[in-house]
Amino acid sequence: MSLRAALAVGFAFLVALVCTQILALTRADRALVRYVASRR
Amino acid sequence: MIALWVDGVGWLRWVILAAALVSLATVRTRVATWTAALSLILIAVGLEASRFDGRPHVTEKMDATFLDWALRLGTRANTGIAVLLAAGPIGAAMARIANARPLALPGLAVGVPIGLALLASSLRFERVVELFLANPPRVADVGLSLDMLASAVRDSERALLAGVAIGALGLAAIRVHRMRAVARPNRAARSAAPRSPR
Repeated sequence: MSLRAALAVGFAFLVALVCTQILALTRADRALVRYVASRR
Repeated sequence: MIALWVDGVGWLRWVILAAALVSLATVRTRVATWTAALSLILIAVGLEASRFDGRPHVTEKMDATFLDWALRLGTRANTGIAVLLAAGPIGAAMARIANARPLALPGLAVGVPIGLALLASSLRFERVVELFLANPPRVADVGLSLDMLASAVRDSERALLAGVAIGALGLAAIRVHRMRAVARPNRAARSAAPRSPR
């Protein structure tokens, strides 16, 4: 695999990872709400 | 909130910002691809660090779960700013690798809404965090309005989803525009070419 191909795969993976993480942020924040509610 | 930014999780958020600034400063140099890649890696690390881990952080003195989450908001804000700064260089680096036109526009179209959404998400929680700081030890019992937190989380969720959606739409719009731009000269050439006699 050439360096260019490796870089392309790496960049694509990281961009996909970042998008997934942003969506995961919303789930994590909701988990906090559930935790605070459970402590009441 | 500012104090929380400065004193919070520590050096990671500033490293993320510094990497984004370096990628912006080196965008026209030979190392641009590598600095953009480093910035993208640190943005991914920052997003991971800015996410609540879902575990209770209970100490002998207090339940610090909310504090742990609040401290992560600073990292989220800095990561948002880093996305805004590094979106152009990252887009340009990806275009260079793919032998596309080396323009930063697609990167900006995706990065700017997402960066703004991350920033808006962390700033939306400002009031909730202020209330917590005013009364930290009893946060899980009475110090925090659950409705206020739930409302802030809903708004943050909307902002993040809208950021991703606007980014995707912007990218699609640029793609369509470019395809039309490529098709246009061909039509012009066809109409300019001499017609064959019937």
